Amino acid sequence: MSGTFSSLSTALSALRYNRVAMDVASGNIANAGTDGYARRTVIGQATGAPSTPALWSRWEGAGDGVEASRIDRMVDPLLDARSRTEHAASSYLDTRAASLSRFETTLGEPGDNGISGALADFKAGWYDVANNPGDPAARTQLLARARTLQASIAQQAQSVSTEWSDQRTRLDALVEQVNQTASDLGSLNKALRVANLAGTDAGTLLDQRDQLTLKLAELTGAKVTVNADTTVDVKVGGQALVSGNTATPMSLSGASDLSAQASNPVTLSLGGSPLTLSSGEIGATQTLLGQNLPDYLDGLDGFVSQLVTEVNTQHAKGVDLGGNPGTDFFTGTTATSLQVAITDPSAVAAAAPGQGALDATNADAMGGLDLGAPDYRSLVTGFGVTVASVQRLAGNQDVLTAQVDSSRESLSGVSIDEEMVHLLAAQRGYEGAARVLTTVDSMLDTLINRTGLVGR
Amino acid sequence: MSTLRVTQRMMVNSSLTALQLGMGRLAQTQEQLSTGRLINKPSDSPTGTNEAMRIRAQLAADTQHSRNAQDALSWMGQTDSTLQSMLDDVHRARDLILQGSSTGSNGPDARNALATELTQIRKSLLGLANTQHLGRPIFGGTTGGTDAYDKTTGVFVGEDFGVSRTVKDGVSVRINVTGPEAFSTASGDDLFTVLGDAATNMTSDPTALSGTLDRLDAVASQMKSALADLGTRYGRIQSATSSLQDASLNNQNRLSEVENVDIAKAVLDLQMQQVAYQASLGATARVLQPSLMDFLR
Repeated sequence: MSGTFSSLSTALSALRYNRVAMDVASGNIANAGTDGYARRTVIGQATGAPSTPALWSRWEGAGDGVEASRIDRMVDPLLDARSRTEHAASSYLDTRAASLSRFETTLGEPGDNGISGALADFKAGWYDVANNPGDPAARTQLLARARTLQASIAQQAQSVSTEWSDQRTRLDALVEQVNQTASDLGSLNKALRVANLAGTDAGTLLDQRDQLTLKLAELTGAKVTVNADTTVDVKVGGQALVSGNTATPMSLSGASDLSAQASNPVTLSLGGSPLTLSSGEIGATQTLLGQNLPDYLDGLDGFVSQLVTEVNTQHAKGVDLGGNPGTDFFTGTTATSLQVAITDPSAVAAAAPGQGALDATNADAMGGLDLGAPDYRSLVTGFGVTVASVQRLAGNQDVLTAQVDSSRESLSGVSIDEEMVHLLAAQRGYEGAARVLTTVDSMLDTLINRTGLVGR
Repeated sequence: MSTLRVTQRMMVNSSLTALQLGMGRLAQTQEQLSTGRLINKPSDSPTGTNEAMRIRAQLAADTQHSRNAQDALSWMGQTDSTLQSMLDDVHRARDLILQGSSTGSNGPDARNALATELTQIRKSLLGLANTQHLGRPIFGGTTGGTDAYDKTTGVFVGEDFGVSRTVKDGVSVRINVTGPEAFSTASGDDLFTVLGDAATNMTSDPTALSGTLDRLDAVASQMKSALADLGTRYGRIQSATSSLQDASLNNQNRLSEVENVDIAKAVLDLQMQQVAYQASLGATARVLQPSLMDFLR
């Protein structure tokens, strides 16, 4: 049999337990809107018979009350890992989609104001010269249209280059952010280890740890391993970024301008070896800097070189107003170096040689050429396909990420209603325990103060 | 029992996502309606973009081709009317020569008068042969000068080359008739020499006039065949122009099918999206407000 006062201590344990339960519930409610907070649950355990029975003695108690055995963080490491993967994929696609569609709006296609409009005007200009070969106005207009075409091409090349520089600056900032986060995580690992050894509640630290690893995954698509002592190791592209307390910084080198990218490509390295990421914001920026934007400029250069070749070849076949063979109409073979070489309207070689001064056969033939239009069209269409596909993938990925987030939230999120119910239950439990206390007290009162009064 | 736990935050998030999606759809339809275009960026429809760019290039080319054709028609119209009035003059000259050769009763004075009139006609024909279109002599070929024939000697001073206009992709039509083509016979005889000889023969050697008449007839038939040839080419350009107009109209329609918004459909879409958006706003307002707190006393 247990002692007389055991019921009092049982009631006391209930009072304590319910206080803890109310603390946990109020803590959850307080953090209902905190980012990265995982709800806590108090796990109560009935205290009773010792688990290892002793020889020659037996326990006769009916229950010794309750204790808060531990406070659980409601998380699922599997879901966390899944969430990191999906977030990394999402930020990779979102970053690319945002940059590509921003650049896409500068194309002005399909429309009258883009390169294709300027090209059509340029071709029409040759026909106007063919209609009035002796008219200086028609020739001047042709040269003006050639300069407009050159300016449209240069402007588009400039847009590519501006977007590239923006992304390059962004990559600098991103790498800085990764290094900062990695170093924070290194310090956090240390704190976690200490907390673990000291046996204190590491819940807040673990919340922080999960937030930092998620951020690193969004930035780099990092792979995270959780160790037995709750610390984490982070690897990026197979290289250790954070290992225990130490964080290895990433470094960035290479061109700061699109024109230098081919000779001195932007290189990201970690621990001395170069990294090419295919996930996370940094992966997206690397893809933009190394592939999407330079590829577009290459395509534009291809179109320009086709244009220059066609125009110059045809121009050389003709003679100008003075009867001299046509010189190069354009110089340069790339979008940025393209220039209109002819400044004198009479130097436009509209005539075929030996056909009279006002012959316009050559200008007429020029007007009938493609002048690289199919190349430009396929460049724009191809780019449109890339953007559309990235946008579609990003949309799908966002749905997937939202689902995983929702599952995570379903497990870890705080529900105010639920916490209210827990709070009420704890309140009632507390009231009940208090009642037990009163009852025992009154019982003891009867026993102590009113017993043994016979004959007094 | 495993039911999905739903928290306030999940509802807030999903409401926000739904509202964003609704807004996004509304914004896209609104963009389409306000620009009137289905394709505002290549990624809106890459295949449509390709088509639109191709049609636009074709439309621009067609516009220029019809300008070329208009230019050609005005050049040829002028050539045609000039040749017509020159033929009238040639007929008058033929009458005069006939008059001079047929009646032996004409005295020297009458012949002199006929010769003077012939010289006048020759001069007027020379003037007509130097007719200009936009500063270029229409019978002068590709010459850079202002005249096709020397005003006094009647010698061809132009360049005997064709002038062509492209009136359709790959269809280039010759629009000019050069002086030698219109006024010289295969034997190298030309209108102005014949008329000069006629004026000379009228006073000096009336008997040779019948030979001159044959030469003039040969020149006149050359002019007529040049006129007929010109008419054929004029017809070709006209038919090319009308087929250009048809093609242009077709292309406009196709471009509009590819690029432009079907207003009725877009307005209907807008209405539906508006309803959906309002519904999600209403649902959000109702779902997010209440909590257990409202019912606990």
